[in-house]
Amino acid sequence: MRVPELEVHQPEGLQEALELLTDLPDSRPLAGGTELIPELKNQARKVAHLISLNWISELKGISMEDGFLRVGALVKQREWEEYKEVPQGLECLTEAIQQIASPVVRSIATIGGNLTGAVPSADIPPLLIGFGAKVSLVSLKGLREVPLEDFFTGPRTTLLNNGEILKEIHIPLPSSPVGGSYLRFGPRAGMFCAVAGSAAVLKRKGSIIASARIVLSAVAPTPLLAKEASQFLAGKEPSEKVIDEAGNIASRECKPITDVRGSAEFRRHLVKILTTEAIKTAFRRAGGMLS
Amino acid sequence: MNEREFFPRVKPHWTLLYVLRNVLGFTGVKRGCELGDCGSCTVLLNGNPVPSCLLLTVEARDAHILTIEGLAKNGNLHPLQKSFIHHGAVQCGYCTPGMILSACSLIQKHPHPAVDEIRQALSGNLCRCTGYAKILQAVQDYSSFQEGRQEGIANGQPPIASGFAVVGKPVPRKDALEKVTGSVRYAGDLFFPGMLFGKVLRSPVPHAKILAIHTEEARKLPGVRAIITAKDVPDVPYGVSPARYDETIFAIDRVRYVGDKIAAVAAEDEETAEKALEWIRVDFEPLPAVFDPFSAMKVDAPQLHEKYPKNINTEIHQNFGDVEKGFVEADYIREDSFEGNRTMQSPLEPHAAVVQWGKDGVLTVWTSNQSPHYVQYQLSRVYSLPMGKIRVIQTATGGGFGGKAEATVLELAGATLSKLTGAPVQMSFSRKEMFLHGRGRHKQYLTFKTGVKRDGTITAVQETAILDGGAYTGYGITTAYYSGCLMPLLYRLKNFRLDAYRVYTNLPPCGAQRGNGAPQPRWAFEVHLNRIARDLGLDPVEIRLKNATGPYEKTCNEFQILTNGYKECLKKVREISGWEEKRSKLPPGKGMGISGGGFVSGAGYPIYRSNFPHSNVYIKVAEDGSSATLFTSAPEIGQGSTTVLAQIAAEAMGIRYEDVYVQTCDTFLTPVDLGAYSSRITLMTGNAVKQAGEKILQLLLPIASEKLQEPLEALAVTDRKIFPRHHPEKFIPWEDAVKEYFDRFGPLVAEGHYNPPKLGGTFKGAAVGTSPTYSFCAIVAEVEVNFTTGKVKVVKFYNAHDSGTVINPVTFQGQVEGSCVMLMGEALMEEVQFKDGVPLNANLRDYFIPTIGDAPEVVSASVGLPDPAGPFGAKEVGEGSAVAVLGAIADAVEDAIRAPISSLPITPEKILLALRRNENQ
Repeated sequence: MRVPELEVHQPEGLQEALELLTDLPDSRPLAGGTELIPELKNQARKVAHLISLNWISELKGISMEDGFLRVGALVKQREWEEYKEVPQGLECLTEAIQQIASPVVRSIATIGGNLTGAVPSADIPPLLIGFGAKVSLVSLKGLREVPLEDFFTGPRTTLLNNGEILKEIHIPLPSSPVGGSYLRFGPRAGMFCAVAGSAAVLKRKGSIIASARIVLSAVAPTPLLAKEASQFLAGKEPSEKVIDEAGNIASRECKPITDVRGSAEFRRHLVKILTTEAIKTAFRRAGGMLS
Repeated sequence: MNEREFFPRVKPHWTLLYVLRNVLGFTGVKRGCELGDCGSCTVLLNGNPVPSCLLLTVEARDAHILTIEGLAKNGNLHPLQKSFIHHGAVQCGYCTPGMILSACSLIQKHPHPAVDEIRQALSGNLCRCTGYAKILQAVQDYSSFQEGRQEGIANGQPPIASGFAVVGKPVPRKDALEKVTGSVRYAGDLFFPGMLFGKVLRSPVPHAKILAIHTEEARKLPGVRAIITAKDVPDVPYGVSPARYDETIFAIDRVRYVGDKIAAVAAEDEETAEKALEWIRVDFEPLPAVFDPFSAMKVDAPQLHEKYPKNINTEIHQNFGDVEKGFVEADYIREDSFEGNRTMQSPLEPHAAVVQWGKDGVLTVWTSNQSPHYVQYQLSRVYSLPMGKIRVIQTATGGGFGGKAEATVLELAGATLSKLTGAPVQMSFSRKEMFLHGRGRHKQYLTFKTGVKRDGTITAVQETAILDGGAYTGYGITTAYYSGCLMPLLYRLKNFRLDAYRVYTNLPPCGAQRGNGAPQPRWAFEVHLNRIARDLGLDPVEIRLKNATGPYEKTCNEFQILTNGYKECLKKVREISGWEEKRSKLPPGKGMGISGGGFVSGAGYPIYRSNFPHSNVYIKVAEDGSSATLFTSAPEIGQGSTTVLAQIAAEAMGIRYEDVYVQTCDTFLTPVDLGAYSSRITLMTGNAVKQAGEKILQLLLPIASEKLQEPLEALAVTDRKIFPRHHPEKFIPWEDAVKEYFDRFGPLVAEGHYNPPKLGGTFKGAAVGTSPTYSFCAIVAEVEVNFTTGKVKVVKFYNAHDSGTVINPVTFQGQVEGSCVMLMGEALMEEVQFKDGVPLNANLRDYFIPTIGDAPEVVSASVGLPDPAGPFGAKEVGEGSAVAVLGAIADAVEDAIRAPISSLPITPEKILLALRRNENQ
């Protein structure tokens, strides 16, 4: 299986990369390539120029600034897993990342690539949306910042314009008692794309869920913020009944399809049980007690 | 890379995998799927394991790369390499380099990893042979092999066979060293000067007339050297069973499935060959297609082959005893229907071959194959060449499981491509093509009707099997017979009737996958039997013991059983699994199930009619007596045959295992052997080897007798010493006798051969399922079912296998563990899915084979007695256990959910459906 002939450019500066992307026809940025290279090999996509982002230091590194964790789009998934200073409350993100593909793939796959690939089953977006992360997008025209929940426009499509790339992810540092959890389902122990996934990020106030964000994967054309389920939980004490109902609402809100990985009906069922479990874990992690 | 600098000329679109292998020659980096799904191509990049198939080489510039070739330092193996050898963690070896490198990266970061960390770190490296147990052990124990320490923890069970010097010992595999260092060469690793690369164009449509094939544009591509279609190759039909030669090298005028072969290209490099395929245009006239056997058997269904009305490729009607009378005698009758699944062998190595039609007229083929003889035979038939002008060399083979047991388009089209170009041509399948080539397990639709007495005694069994055969036959005739012929092996069936139909459909052809046609009907019958036991309030073990066959019985279909440890197997697994405390007594969601198994220990008859011995070998002793080389055409495909045969040779000659070298599978050097299928090598080739070894001794002993002044009968030979039995201290060294022999008579050489006795009855199809002797097995599986998600987890397997004398306990366990985990995949997660004939999951991302995280512990026991038919009493192990796995898991699931499950794979959705039905009742 071959990658069709193409040119690879390896700019070392962001400006140069953006110029190349703007000037060259049929160009596309290359990060880890773990989605893009198979697409090229399977001829699902044609590209004349790959602009590698792997040599640009401005796109790398993890830092803390103004109450945000700033994660360069090119940070490898393995780098995050081995990162020693993951802020309190974001450990659940490490758990989510550890479920992606395989350790071998995660050595080269990037955090940003998991977002820009915009695969509906991607495992990083749900929690990031749950935490209210924003992404900064850069082009020659300048920088813009958008909430991640608005970033995805369909399967494998995003807000990114031609000539624009994902620069950084800004995750607000969890302040008040916050807990997150991402659960997903697949047929074997590892190395699969989620049949369905659900993330819960909860803020706790006493025994009450102050606010909640439930975000689903693999059950809609994009990662899906389950707004009704999230709103339903806000201000409620997480009794068994409440959690169950939130799961039911999320299950109604999702828009799954039937494909080789599972039926729409099964996915709805999974959303319910994954969501209820994620809520329980997240609430416990926020320091809450479940009755 | 590997502590050297390299400056390869690289095109920007070339992957690291391609450059490492094809440009720099580091073929220890393996090509398994090319999409990042299997881990075979793993290398370390700056200390981290990476999929070299997904990295563009230019992106790896200035990096530090370690391949398997660089792991051993100054001739010293890395502790992991030593541990993999010691623990038998290597079988076919194809996943081994990636597996070791992933483990290496882990221990560099965590020198003392916990079991779960190892599982996590290796979760991206698939293995199809080992069942992962020994890999896990090897990584856990690597530190025992660090500098200054030599021995690992004790391995395996204590030798089972007593009274032998070499047989029964857990000696390391003959091929382990070259596999852990990456120096072993598979067919796709061979590069010759001027070699071309061939690729096959396959049909995108399920059924159509070919109106025209336009190759002009493709021919214009620089680097394209030949393009061939049906008109350029012989139109001689080929296949496996002579009665059904229904395939031609390329489709003639009509394609019959998505993947049918249309043309092939040879080009100077692989990418040009692939590109040329895209420039070939084919005009089709679509025909109606049919995708399941029931539609295919309708009168007005589209016909695939004119010779076979209603698409019935073969039908079998066998009737033993009087089934109707048996049902009349029964106190209770039950009928159950089952639906199996279409699965694929999925060895980690895709098929590959290099073909060279020499200027001297000799056609040489290096191939990754389980039966070089059948490749040679079909090449001879199709090209009208004498067998002696065809040299088939089997290279190292990265797993087979039945998928590589016949000639394919690689050798057959490769021959013409080589002839036309005058160059050697390397041909290989991509992972997707393996699915399109097919030859995986038939999906069987099965119905069993059984009558029993109140005490569980079976009075009659009536079976109907309908097999989805796909578009051609291949091994399918044998599969159809195996759908029923082994049913009377485990239980005394006085009255047994089998009606089986193998039906053509517009899907990839199915073939012989581990256990051939036997696992699905065995699953169905064992589950059916357990339901009967439940209905009658009998214990499943008891109903089996009640009906089990015994030693030296003849079955109703005239199979001669010799040793038979089936009852012992049942009792053993009952004991080691805690059956009596657990069966139907575990809390809801947990279950325990049982199934019997067993298989032929070598097919009694060859695939095509012939009278010559099935296995033939010779042994040549080195002139100074320091070693002996065994020449055999028995293919090592990862199962360990070379090791086992070397042990048998050493035992027979009274020398050490280390003294024996094995030259396998080169038809110019090694005599005919039918191949690695039907679990035949240990018994059949083993007998030939034992005979050859004994003949060597017969030549040597007279000399020793003369020197020692002792009568021949008084002499014994072991550990390279020849001595009078009563005076072992008075010995002469083996090599002294050899030197003396050479001085007097010249080369010390002996042949051995094995031909099974005439077996079986005279009814139609009586030959299939005959065997010199049979293996027996019982498996208990313990499972947990998640009632909310429907997911099944196998917690543990308990296996007891009657393999006669166990020649090597580590390879024995390796076969059992591998069988359990492979068939567990088939039971729970594997199924090739199609839409309108197009496969939807022809890759290792969505066709799920088990990962290391899925692999449960396998407790395995050997209960066999030495069998008179086998060398030193040995029988088979590679398939008999596989046959029992599906049933044990399915029964355990029924025990856990208290509801019937009658279709494979047992997916979460099916579990949830069954639970819901339960609730509604």
